[in-house]
Amino acid sequence: MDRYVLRRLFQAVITVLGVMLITFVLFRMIAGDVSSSYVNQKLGAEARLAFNEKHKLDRPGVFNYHRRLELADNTAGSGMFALLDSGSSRLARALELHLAPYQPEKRQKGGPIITGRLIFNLSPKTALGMMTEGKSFIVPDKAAVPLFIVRLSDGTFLRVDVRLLKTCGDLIGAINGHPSNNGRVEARISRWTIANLFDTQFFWHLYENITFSGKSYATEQTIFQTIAERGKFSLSITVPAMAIGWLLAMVLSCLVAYYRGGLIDRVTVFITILGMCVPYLAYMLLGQWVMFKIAPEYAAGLASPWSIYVPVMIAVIAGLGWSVRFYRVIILNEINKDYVRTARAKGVPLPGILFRHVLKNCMLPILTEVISEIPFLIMGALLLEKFFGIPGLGDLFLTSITSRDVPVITGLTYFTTILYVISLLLTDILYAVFDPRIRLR
Amino acid sequence: MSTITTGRSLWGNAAVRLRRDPVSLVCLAVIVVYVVIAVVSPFMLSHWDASYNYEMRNNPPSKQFLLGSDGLGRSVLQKTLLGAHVSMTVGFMANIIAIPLGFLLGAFAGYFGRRIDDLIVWFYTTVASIPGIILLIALKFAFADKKIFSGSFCEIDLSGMAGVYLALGLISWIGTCRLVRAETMKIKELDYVLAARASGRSDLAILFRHILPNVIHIGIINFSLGFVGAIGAEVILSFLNLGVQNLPSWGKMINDARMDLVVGRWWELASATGAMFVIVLAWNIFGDRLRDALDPKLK
Repeated sequence: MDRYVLRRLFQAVITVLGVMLITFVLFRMIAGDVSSSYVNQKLGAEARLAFNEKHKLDRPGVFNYHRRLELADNTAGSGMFALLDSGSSRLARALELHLAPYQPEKRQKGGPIITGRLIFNLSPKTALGMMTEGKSFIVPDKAAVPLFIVRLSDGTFLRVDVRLLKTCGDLIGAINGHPSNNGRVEARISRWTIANLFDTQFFWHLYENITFSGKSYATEQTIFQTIAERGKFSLSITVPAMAIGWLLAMVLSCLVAYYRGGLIDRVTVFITILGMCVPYLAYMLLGQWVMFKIAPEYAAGLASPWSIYVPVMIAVIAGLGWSVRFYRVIILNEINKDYVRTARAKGVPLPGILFRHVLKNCMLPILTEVISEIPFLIMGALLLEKFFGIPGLGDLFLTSITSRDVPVITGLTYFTTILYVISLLLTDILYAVFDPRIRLR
Repeated sequence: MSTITTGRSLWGNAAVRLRRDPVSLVCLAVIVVYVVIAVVSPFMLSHWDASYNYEMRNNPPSKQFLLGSDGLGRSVLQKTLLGAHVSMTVGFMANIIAIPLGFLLGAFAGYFGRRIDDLIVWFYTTVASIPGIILLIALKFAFADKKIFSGSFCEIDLSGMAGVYLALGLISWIGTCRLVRAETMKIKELDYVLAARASGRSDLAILFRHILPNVIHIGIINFSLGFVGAIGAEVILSFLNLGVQNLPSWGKMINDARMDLVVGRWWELASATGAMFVIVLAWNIFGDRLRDALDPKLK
């Protein structure tokens, strides 16, 4: 038993990891550059870069295995070693923006080193435009010559004209071979480093999901807060809908199974089939219309607590057909078994058999079905929430999809999946504990 | 005197049983009629799109417009007939993608077992544990403004109908895959498979020539289920404005009618719902009958 539970737990973890992989591929990689939806266009490329940096969107996809630009100061002075804004060269600013601050303890032989961003996989052929996110690194300003200015620790400067530079190799060559350099600064591409191997979008995605700490781009709220705040609206529709629906379906299917083959059975089965053939949206429209005729003030929104019963009613009616048919098949399968025939032969009345024996045996598959529906309660009925303007999680999910609020989408998907996987685990264990016919491997 | 009756195959048996059953024949006829409408209507009613007439906006059913007219004064009856094209194409194509995918993965998992089985089972458990509607929306959203095979002669624009059925196909293969896997696992232990292997047939030949023909009925049965699901999903996508954009479809008609019912315009909603109701009912009943007909235990 313990081994079985452990094995199932392991499978559950693997499944959850798979889900995170799928959500990553679907939402992070295909979504593309979302910063344009959240940063005002007028603020320009740098604001977008800042946004991307803040939300870790500038990181590499899966593994951070990189080479970067290094500038070594050989003058051994006591001042500051830095890159300066040249005004007309965006390259210098872009580099400065992303260069790690000067760290004195990183002193190597010859002097301090400035290292570039962790995310570039540089080679001498890397286009310089890549560092400015595809924008030209020369600001169109005819008055000034675009320069790349290095301030050395002995107080002197090195000014490199960047107008004719195309690639990273050009830049390194221009710095090292500058007539006034004389070995004061050495530019080079560093070795491959794996120091920040896991500082990538994928691992941040994993971390944010596992800790529910992903922050919405739009509201800066964490997923945890969002679920706590909005979950209750979703639950207020789905929990009553499920409870009422389950009760109704049980009563109806027992009734139908009791009169199996008779008129009531046929009529009910026929009606449930008809009910299953009506599209969900039509139920919603009709339900709202009926409510609009009876009491227009409750037909939409959440102005009154009574409004919640319209979507609940619709969810119950729309789901009833399927569950009555499902339960009926389970009960009928059980009724046709030998022990029921034996009991009948001995003269036990049918209601007695039905309620004392048959229902007890049917409970397990029915409960399994009910438990596996529980995780989807939290998301609410997406369409109902959207249609009736209820501010639950389903509504939030749909809004986030259109506004490309990736952390919210992945966070909610992950949360639902976790609940689903746990409920599957629970039902398996439930079967194992309560059904002696099932042997655990 | 004894007569030797010729044996009938599973399919022959099923055909005989279906032929004797008037209800399933009626359902089949309904499906055929819908298919014909879906194929013919875009050619017959190509003038519909431009036939707007602002004098006749939102007219209730009358002699001129049997099912009334829509917000641009066009015939709702013709719109409904044109909508069949989208629904039937989506239902058909989603299945054409999903069922072979489910078959292939399920058969490989069931036949080869071990690592391949683990991998495929992991994959479908993972996909199945994301709620279907979320996956559907996500896929459709990811397809926005995307084209595959662009530039070549078979360029497919994923923002339109192709995106809808591709997304549906990619999420609805799991049921088929599960069933096919279980069935393949059962069949590969049978003696005739052992005999085939002993006579030196390759794995792939055994799988495709000897095992798959015996599980193909699962695909036929799941076709009806998938069709019903696809027609329903098309409505949901239209409601979320992620559906088919430039063609009239039932989902779009129902979505357009959201505000109509309150002011008493019922005909557009009613005709789209009615059209959908009939085909879904036909598929549901036909699928049930087909399943019974293909079950050799029921005689």
